[in-house]
Amino acid sequence: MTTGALRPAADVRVMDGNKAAAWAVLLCRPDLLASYPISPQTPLLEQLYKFRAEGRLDAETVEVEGENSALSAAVGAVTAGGRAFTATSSMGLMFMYDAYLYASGQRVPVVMSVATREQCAPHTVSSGQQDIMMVKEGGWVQLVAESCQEILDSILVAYRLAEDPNVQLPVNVCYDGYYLSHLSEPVGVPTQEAVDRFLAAVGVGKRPVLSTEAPLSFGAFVLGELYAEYRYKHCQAMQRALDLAESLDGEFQAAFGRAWGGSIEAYRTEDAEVLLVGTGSACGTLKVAIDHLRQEGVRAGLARIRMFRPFPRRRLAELMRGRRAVGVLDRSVCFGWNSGHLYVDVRATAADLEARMPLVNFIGGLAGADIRREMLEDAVRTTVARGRGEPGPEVVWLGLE
Amino acid sequence: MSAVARARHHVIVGAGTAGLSAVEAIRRACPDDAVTLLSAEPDPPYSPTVLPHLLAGRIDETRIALRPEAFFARGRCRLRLGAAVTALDAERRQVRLGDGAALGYDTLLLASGSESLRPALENPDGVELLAFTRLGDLRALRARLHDGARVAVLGAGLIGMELAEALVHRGRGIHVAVIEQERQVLPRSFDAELAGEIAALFESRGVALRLGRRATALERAGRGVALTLSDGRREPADVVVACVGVGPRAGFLAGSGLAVGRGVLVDRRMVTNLPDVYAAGDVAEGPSADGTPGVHPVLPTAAGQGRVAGLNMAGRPVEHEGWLPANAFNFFGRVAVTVGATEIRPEWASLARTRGRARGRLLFAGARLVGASFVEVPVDPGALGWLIRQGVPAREHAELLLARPVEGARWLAALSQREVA
Amino acid sequence: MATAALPVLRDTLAIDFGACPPGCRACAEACARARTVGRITALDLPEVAFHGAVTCGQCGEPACRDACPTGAIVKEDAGVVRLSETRCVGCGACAIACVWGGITYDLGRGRAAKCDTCDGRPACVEACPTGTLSWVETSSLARRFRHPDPFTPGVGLCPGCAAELAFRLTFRLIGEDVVVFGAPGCAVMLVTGLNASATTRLPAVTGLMTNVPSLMTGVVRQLRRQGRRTRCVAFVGDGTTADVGFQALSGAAERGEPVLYICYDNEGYMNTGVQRSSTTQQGARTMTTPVGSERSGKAQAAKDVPLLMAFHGVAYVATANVAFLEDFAAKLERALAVEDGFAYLHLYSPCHVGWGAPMDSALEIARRAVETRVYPLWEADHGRFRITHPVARPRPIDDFVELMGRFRHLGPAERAALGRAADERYRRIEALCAAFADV
Repeated sequence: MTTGALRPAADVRVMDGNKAAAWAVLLCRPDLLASYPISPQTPLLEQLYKFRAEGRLDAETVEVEGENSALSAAVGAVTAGGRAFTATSSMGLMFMYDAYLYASGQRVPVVMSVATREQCAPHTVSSGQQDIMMVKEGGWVQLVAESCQEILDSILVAYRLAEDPNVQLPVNVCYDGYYLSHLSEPVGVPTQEAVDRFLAAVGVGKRPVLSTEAPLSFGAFVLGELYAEYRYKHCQAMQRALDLAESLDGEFQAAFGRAWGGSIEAYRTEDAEVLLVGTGSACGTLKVAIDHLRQEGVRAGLARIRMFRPFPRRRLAELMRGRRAVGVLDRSVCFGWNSGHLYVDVRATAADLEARMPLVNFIGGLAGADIRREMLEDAVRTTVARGRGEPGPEVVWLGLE
Repeated sequence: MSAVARARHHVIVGAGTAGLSAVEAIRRACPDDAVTLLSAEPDPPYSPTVLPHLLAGRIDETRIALRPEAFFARGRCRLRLGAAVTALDAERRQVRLGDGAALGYDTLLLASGSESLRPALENPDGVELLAFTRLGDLRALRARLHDGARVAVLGAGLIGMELAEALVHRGRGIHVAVIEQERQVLPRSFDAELAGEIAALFESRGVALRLGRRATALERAGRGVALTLSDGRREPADVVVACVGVGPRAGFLAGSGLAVGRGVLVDRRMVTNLPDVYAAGDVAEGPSADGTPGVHPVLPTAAGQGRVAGLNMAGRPVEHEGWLPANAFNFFGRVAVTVGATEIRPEWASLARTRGRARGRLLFAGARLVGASFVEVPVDPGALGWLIRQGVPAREHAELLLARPVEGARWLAALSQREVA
Repeated sequence: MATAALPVLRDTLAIDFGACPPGCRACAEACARARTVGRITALDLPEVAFHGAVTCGQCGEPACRDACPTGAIVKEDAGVVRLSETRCVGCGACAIACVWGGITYDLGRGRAAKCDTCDGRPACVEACPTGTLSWVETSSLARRFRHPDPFTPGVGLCPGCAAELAFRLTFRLIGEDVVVFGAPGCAVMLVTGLNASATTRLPAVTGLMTNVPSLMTGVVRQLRRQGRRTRCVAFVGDGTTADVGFQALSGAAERGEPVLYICYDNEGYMNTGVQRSSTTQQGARTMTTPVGSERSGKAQAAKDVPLLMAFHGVAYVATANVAFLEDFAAKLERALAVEDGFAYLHLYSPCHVGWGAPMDSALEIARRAVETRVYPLWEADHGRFRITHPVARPRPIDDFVELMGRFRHLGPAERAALGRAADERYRRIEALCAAFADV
């Protein structure tokens, strides 16, 4: 395998989120890339094809005719013992949904990034998190990044999670379309040697694969009790992925000098009276808003969900315990619950606590609408007010009301 | 849910043509099943058809085994010689053998063949009366044939005439007389005209034919014996062989509950009235091509019935097409072949052709061929049989069938076979 | 349940029945010269304007053998039904038993005689001036389908299923260096296994109806990357191929993925209870194209998927069916010879259950589909079109239609239209052969 020579450690470059993802993929030495263009992930694939054309990436490339095939080709390569990568967004993710469920049900450790985007209809190509929320029950592990650096790092972690013999599940690395995919930031690119060392724990030979020497049947027809066993084991693997995410954070820090907090990044929560919960790039703005309000004496903190599936329920409950109120920021809607998707999960988590507290949901940033600092400061203040017992609607649509 | 068939045990009583055809069929359909083939005889399986040919010296005993030894070594087929069956217990699904042992079965085929009928005649001296249906009979006859011996054959049916022909062929001054109560030889095979020609042929070879009378008594006379015939004449002889007919070898089945008429009664699947008990070949009385039941002790019938029985025993329900009278005769190099009906009925038409010694006759019921007989003409009895069975409208081609019987019959049969297929 | 293999005739004499020139008796004369008495009969019958030949077909279960009283007739392991003349006593039982014209009774010698194929060099074939008689390699079938059946018996397909037969034969030819792919549909029962039990000892992948060619893409690329030439072979139905999975199929074909994709076309969604697919024939009754006072079977013509695949410009495309095994085997071999491109086989696979026909009818339907030009057998080998089984004189369309209940409602005009459509289909392929015989 020939990967172009990387400069030594702490090679910091300015790049957007798609490029950061491409660098991560390059470093993970995949055997196969399958791609179908869809905004806003397209530049990621273009970058990978550039790497391929330059001889820096030794991988099969499959230019498929649709997203279902992109994921399926990746699944095929992984089934035959390889490491594969694909990426998509929005309706592309919907179009691969049957293969998406196939990949997880078959326990195929493929990694796919999702540059998140709204769903149609109405038509739009703008940013939003509705797409990844639509597949959250699909049995995949879902990581959500806040920054370009975190995109790169999460993809390295994703292969460790996916290919771990105790997990063996497909993993999504999600990052906000445009806000991250097209936002340039300084990104530290680790050395190939460091990545190779980090990934040495997983890879070929550690899971059952297709072979003529020891033939196996993949995709068996299963009935009744055995089906329940499949599901039970899948659930167990999801929970092990949650534990592994926490422990990998330390290992990652030892290898690359950065820690992210495992399943949840807790930001200024130690003394917080109110807790905000969010996921993705808007959390950066939220952090700024919290910093600003703290100067006014508002004691707010943030629980940034980094691993949305499996959901870090226990850790979140600990972070919620004793707060006067919890506000949840969603960039998607959950039809029928009249709220955001993250809010539903937080509300369910609140049931784990002895004491009840006011919960409020803020929905904003749909279809690329700005979530400005002032809007989030209002959101924090609203949360504080609810903690004081002030009445108000459970769900607040930012910029709509 | 499909049942997984376990290997079964099929027992076949009689190792003749029918029994062996059944083995072939079972082996093909259910190769994992076990077969036990019981033969009452001490010799490897043979067909009684060979007896006259052995006697005439056309073939010797080393060339008559119906199957090579290796055949029985294949698969799970066990041949037991000298194993006579003495009783059938259908309730317990077992047969009892001569040595008293019981043998269990899942299916049973009775293919025990036929045995000679004893002629009704007075025999106060207990003169030895030979038969001609088993190798043992042949060996006994041979031992008694000295040069110039006088042999009296009782019955001018097929076996009697073949025996007579073989004795003539053997030569060595043997005198042969055939005694037959009908007024013609081969009464069930040929019409009077053809039979007359065959009789003349035998007489020209020195065979004395005593037609229209039967033997009523047998007694010692000097160093030989003498038969008294129904017309009062005496027929001196050294050896007497009874060929008055054969019947099913079914005595051992008495008391088993098996329905026996002229033979063991079977349907088109060769099933008897007892569960999982089948019968085929000379012992069986089964449907003919037109559905009327009867015993038809002829090789192709035994083979066909045996095959059908075997397939049914193996779980493949197939039906026998019914036997069709058919025979080929070769007397002194003159060949006669009959297929289907030999006796004309009033409503039928007969078309014939004669060219010197060669002659043919076809019987038609409307357009359908129902019977064919040819003398000294190359024919294909199988193809003719097909035409008769299938009811192929052949009347319009009667001339062709008479002039060129082989080609004509094969052509018509082939066309019909393509349609049926 | 296993069935014992019949002895296989290595090669066989083939006669184009009724195609002899008038007055020709060359075969019979050559036979008589070579073998003392003619065992082949020239049926030269000017009286009825028929000219043909007939001889022994070397039956698998010969009635002549069973009837012979001296064991003189033996079915040899090599397939020949041989008559030992030193054992024959001339009783004629064999000639009575054989209805096929395979036994000759030699009056002169009082013995039977029959064809022994001159031990593989038949004099009649050499003497035949027209090629009406030919010596056909049948053993090639045994040699070709030489691997053990890798699928368990007792798989729950319907008795008499043509697809199951084709499936098993396919992998008996291919052997074990293969990954087999299936998708939901009848035949997937052979691939998928049930619970923890596999139904095959081949490595197998059961995909979705939408994604089999794409799964194959990933697998084959990864195997090639490992330096393996293991074949990736899909065996899936027409719904998967022509309808919901057509996009993925088209994509893999366009990319030239080195796989073999076999579609068994039973012209509908049989596994879900007989609904129409885009390959269902016009006029056919299915559960979604029922016959009533206002509708009468499928209104549209069948999608010609193999032709569509050929125009993808892939390495190899062919139509086949198991009623023509030589043709089928040859096409499988040619498809497998394609190592670095996409190969597509379209198998006509009558579903007697869905088509309203008796359990034992699938092969006859398949045969007549070819003989009526409903289903032309052709191939496009790297763009060169060729009809592999020419049908110069098609049988009337009724010979095909009458076999199936799904067409029972069709009147004479509709049947005739089906016949014209079949003829057009055939002539379209003929035109392609003429246009692209030497691309």
